[in-house]
Amino acid sequence: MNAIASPNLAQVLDHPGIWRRSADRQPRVRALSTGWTSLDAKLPGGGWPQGALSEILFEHDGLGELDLVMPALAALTQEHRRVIFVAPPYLPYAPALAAAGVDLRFLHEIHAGSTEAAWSMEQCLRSGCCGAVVGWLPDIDYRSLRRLQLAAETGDACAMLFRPATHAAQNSPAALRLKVSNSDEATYVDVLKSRGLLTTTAPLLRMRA
Amino acid sequence: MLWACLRFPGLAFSAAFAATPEAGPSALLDGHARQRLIAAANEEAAAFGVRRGQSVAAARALCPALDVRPRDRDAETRLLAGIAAWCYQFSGHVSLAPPQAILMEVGASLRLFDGWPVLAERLRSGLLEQGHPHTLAATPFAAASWIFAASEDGMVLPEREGVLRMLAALPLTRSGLSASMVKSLQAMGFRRLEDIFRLPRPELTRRIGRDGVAWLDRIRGQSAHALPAWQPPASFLQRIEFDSELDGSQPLLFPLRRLTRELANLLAARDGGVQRFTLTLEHARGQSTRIVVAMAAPQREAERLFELARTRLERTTLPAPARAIELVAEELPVFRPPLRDLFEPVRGDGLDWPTLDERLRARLGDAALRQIALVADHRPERAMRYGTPGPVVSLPRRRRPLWLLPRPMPMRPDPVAVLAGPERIESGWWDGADARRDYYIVRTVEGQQAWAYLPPGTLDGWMLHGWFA
Amino acid sequence: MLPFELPPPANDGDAPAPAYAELHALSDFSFQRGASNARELFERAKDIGYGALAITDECSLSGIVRALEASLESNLPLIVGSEFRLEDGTVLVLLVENQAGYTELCRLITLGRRRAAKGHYELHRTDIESLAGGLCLLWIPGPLNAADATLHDERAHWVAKHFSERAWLAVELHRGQHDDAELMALRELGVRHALPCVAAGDVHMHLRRRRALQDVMTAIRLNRPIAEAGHALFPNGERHLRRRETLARIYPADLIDETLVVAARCTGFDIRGINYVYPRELVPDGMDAPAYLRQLTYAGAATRWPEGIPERLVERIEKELMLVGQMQYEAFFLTVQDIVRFARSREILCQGRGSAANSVVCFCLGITEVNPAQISTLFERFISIERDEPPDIDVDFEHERREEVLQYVFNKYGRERAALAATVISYRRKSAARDVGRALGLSEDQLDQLSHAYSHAHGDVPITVRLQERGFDIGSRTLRQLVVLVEELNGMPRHLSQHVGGFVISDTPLHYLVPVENAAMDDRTIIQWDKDDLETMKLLKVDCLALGMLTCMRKAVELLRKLGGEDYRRLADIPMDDPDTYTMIQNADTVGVFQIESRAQMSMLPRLKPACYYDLVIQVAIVRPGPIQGGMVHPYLQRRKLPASEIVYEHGVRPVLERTLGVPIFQEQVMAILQVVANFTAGESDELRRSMAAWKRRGGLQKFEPRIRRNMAENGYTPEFTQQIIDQIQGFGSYGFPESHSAGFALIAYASSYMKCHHPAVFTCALLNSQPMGFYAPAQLVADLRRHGVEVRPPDVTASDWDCTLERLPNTPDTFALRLGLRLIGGLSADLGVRIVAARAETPFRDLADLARRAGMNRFERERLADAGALRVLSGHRHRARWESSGIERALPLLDNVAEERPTLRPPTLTENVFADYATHGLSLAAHPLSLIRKNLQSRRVRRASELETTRNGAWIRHAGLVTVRQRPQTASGITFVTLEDETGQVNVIVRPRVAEACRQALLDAVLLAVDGQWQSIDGVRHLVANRLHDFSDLLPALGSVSRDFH
Repeated sequence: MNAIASPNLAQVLDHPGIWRRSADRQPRVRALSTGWTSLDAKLPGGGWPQGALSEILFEHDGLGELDLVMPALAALTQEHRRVIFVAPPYLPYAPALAAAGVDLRFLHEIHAGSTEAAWSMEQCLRSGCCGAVVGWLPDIDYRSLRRLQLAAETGDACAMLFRPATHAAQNSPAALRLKVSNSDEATYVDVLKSRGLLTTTAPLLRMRA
Repeated sequence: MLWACLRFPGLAFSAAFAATPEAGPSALLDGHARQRLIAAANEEAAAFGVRRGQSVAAARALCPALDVRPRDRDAETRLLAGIAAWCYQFSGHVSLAPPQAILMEVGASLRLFDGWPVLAERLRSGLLEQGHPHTLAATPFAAASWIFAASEDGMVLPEREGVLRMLAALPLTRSGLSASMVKSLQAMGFRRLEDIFRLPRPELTRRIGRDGVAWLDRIRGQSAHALPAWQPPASFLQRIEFDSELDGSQPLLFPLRRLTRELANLLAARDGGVQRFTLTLEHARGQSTRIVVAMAAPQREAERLFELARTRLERTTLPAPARAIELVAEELPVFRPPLRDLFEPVRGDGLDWPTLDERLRARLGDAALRQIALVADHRPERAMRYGTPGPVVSLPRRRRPLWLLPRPMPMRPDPVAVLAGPERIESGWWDGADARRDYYIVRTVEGQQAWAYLPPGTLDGWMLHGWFA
Repeated sequence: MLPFELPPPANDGDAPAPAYAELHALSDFSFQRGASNARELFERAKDIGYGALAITDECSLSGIVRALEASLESNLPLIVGSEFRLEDGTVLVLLVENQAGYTELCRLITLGRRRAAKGHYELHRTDIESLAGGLCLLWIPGPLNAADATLHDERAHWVAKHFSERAWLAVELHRGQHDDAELMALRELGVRHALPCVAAGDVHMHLRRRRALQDVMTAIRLNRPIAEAGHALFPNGERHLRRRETLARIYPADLIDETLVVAARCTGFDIRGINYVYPRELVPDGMDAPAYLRQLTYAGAATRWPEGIPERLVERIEKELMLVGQMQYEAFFLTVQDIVRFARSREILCQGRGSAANSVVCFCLGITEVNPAQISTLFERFISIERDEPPDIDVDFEHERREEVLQYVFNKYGRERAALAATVISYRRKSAARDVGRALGLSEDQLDQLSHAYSHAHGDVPITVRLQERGFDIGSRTLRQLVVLVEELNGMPRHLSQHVGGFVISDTPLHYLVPVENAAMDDRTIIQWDKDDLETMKLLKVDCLALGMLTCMRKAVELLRKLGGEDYRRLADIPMDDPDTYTMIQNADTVGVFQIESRAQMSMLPRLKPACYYDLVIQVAIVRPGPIQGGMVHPYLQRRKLPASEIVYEHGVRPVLERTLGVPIFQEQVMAILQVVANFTAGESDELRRSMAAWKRRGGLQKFEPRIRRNMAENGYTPEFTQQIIDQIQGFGSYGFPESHSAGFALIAYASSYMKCHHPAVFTCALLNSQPMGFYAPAQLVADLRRHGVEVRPPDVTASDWDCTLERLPNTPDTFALRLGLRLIGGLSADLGVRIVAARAETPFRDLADLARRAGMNRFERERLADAGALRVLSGHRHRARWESSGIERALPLLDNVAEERPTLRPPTLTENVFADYATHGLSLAAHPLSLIRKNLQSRRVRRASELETTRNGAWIRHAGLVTVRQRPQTASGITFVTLEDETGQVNVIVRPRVAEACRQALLDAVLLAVDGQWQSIDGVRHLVANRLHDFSDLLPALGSVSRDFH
């Protein structure tokens, strides 16, 4: 039933036919498991880099881009660590969040315009009391990105930034850059940049079929 | 020793009506849950014939517009403690005599306040200013003062003989003996205290028990009366619940004034100040608005505290009418002049969440920070709300999108594939937002997965309501 | 992956409509779940062309008789079934294939219900496994998801294993998100376990628009507001009877076709075929029931008429026996005879009433004491049996001893075979408003206001007006919804309760016929059908009711016998037609007697002047809502003044109405008139009678009215007379009082009157010892007795028993004083009375301490007796007694050694004594409280009750008295009747609504009420019509209320 009810990404990603990197970890990078085995395998440290900025560049809403970060966020809240959504473009929908395992008591939303959003995100990252800060700042400039990267380092928090895929070509100080795109009715995840990753050309991951 | 007793006959009434000033005929209810009777009525209600001891139905029959509130004993205790805090400035030994009296030893303070008439005047005017009607009596014996405060307002009897003379003539019903004892004694034909003062002690003890005899001793000063001394608490927490919802900040000022006044009383008793307190307004569905009032320096004046809180409250946009107000002051520092600005820049690391939260609110406003909670409702737009998340409610086994559009919008172009559905939702007739829709999970031409609905029985007019992001 | 596929149009008229039978539907007898009644369900199912409809209420067959009636009316086959949720969560529906299966289903429901508290049930898999054949099983797996997959496989395996060839997997789709996937998964599950799949609807309502009421019911069940009911509500309205076209789009054809396969197996069973047999064991070996009944009848007749049975009665007996035989009701008569025989053997007084009870056979069997020789008219028709209706016999027993009779029945037939009938408690507007209001989130305070607005004491004011008066905004959404929902919920069943005394007894265990469940009371079991259901199913019921006056009469008879007076062991032994008794009745001197003691009855007595037994039969029936609302009272009174020759009858009705002078007074007469004037058959008349009992539910006379008018016109009656008849039937409504019951009541009314007339002390003594009962409080009964010149003595521990007693007066033989018993003192237990009497019998009490020790009294009891003045002989006045009684310490042995100082105590004043008397036993022999303040009252121009006797009609006066009764009968259009009492007598006050409204507080609260008004005195009927009321209670402080209010 669930296979129909919810395209179970774990099943898709863990399918033997899909490329999977061997499980050896890069010890230099501390990371938070993404919850997706095959994605973890492709990332240094085996997950979202901690104390660093990750960028998720997506082509359209509704490709599964949030699904990518949900397992990690859910795990954080279950450990009673706070997750902050800064300037989300829609209502984060409680029933789906709860179904994904998020403990809503540790999820906060900051509603702010673009300047205030960047400031808020920075404050949260720096405070040291947030596990992850997830922002939607489509127009952020390089300088601000840099500040976020620094703030994440200061507060040892996981920063995740969602931006339109059109920014993929721009330079970015982020430690990790992923691109989510759609082709042939399926969603693919492309690792554009990963600090500490040896290979430069990473294969695509096919996530939603 | 001179014990003054203050009695507040209207205390239960005031406590029950603490939230809003009573307007029009009002009455207080007391008794068992099954049979609650009118315990007190204001003058307007009395003019309609509403009397103590009537049933609500009977009272309503006389006065249909009667506003009745149940008795709230917790609120009474808090109110009495608040008054005790204020009295603390006149005496080092203040004692609560619930439900509605306060005893204080004033013999030691008489000189400080230039004698009884001046002290009494200060007590009376201070209490009236705070809106507490009262009666007052003073004798060398606390128990006798307590009795006379009830029946002989204003009586001062500094000498023992005078007290005994007055007591002797007192009807048993006013003696302070329990109702059952009084009934029992009356059944034996006794009417006044003098009738039983002359009874042989062992025979009397057998009839009204040791407690009764001990009371008679106490009112005559024949045995010591150890009264527990009230101590001002180290923090302040008071909450007033409203019977109906109050919309906007204006109606909230009445309870707010009451709360800040109580806070000031406590501060006076502690000889301290407050630098930061929190007002919380509770709304329906567990939502609440939190207002932090912080000052550059500790304050203690009732009026100043009220003004500060009022300004902050009036600047806040309340998302919904309020059901309750709460004032919490955790730290009551010693009163001293300010040393530094509260909002000076702080180093970024090592903040706790409340501090970060407050900082964000200070800049972005209270409305910018919110939490998301689940609501058990079949209607998608009602299945969540902003507010403090409660315990997890049952989750229906249905797939829901992570993004919900704030309001559904027409979907252009039409979807290219239906992945699941229809899921028919018909619910919500009771609150005016009856929904009747067939929901589908669809795929768009761009490969997005969307949550969209159609009115039942139609083929077009797709409305987009969410993204499976 | 999935093909693009738009949903098919919902209202496609061309779509094929396959044949379908609904196998899973709940009616409103699944309390707080099913939102439509059987009639609505069947009408809808018929309209949309279903082939059959199963009613499968949850672990219950309580709605099945109504379902049967609905099925017959709509001509759509009924499938009998029931839904179960087992303790492990498995949900099943069992459908009946045949008689054996029905019996099994009843057994299963009984098992589950008897195991759990009232309103609940408990069943396990083993219970289902033990079912014998005759049932089809539908397993309802419910929504599937991956987590439950193994659970479902396990359950499917279990079902398939135990119910092969008669089990189905029910697929119930309600437009969920994944209906298609679910269907696929269920079919796979079915294939894996070889269970055929069948479509089913889980129907909770007949139409989608019942959704709101269904949600309300869910909220009521959960006891929270709808807004907080969350996912317990259904997400949509799909659980209604859906059109077949719609179903065709949801279910594959084979699943729909399969419903017909199941239906075909189950529609053959007709629940009317259940075989009810009356117990046989009462008949001695070697004899059959008819012969035994005949033997008992003639044996009884021989004792009734020792000089020989009159010829016409022999004929009558033969005719009756023949009718009983035709209907095979012998065993029923024998059962009633057996119960009555038991009661008599225990000297429990009883009296039968009802149409069958007033037969000669019943008189011979001792079931009734109404002697057919006295009123032959009643026996012209042995009504009920000729109408093919179960015989109607109610037996009244002494109220204090009825339980003995009930336990006799339970013991004799066993719990398996005897149970009480159920009473269906239905929503009324008031209770519906409360529940709906709570579901809509109104506050407790508002709910109280709602109840008031919806309580029926408001006459014809529209509900919207009443709601507005109570401060509701009727324009608001919530109120508009509430008004509609209250009307929908009104009349729906809420729960089952026990009938007041209706027994069903069966030869075979009852649960072969109908499920049995626990009642709220321990040691009681009830069947799931109510009296209407029993009538439909032709099950016989014996009503064993409790009557306070019989207790009183037995006590009076015993007392009289003990005092050496006459021995009236049976009511029939009391001399009939006693002129003194009738004179007393005509003077309305009837305080305390049965039935004719109420205000309304008493005001009628001087006008009707009953002079014989049959007049009493009329008197009992005429002061009833039916005759009053039907306007029969005044015509009857007028005709009584005429000579018989001047009374004119419309043609044909004379035989029916002659005994009531042309005015229909009894329910039977209304029925009979219709047969004469409107060509109704006996059966049709009876249908009308039954519908009268349920006009609220089934909607009035409309169904019959056109026929009555047409036929009466054809028979040549005038439109005026026709209208009069219709008004009379209408007025009877559900209040019609049958002559057969009135005859029984009149006998008891006469017997109690006779006793009061000739032995007033004995009668009052017995009445006081049977309290609480009747219309008057002890104070009025005692005052009445004293007015009749009998001395009454106060309660006294040295003389009183627990009960009131009679003390022989020294000088005149056979005259007695009434000694009040300790039972009159409130708050004491009978046990204390026993202890005091026993201790006193040993040796007289030395002093209070002696009494307290030997009778083991606690402090409360001592003080209570002291306050009541019952210690005066031992301790002196009340103050003294109270001083002494409260000085006795718990450590009793030490007491003797304690030398108490005895201070002088002030003796109580008269006023104090009177008040103390009232506070402890509600009456005072010392003085009437009003005599204490008479001077004050005189200065306020208050007249005594005795002065009013001679006051002229129409005078404006002021009177004041203690309020003893307040009454607002439904029939009196808002008038309140108040009875006032002063030291000289009683005055009846009439308060019209306008005055009541203006002087509301005084009317409701006053203990001492003063009335300014106009004195009316016509034909010996006297009352004071109030113009203004004043509360004078302050003149008598500390006197608690003595009134019996608003019953």
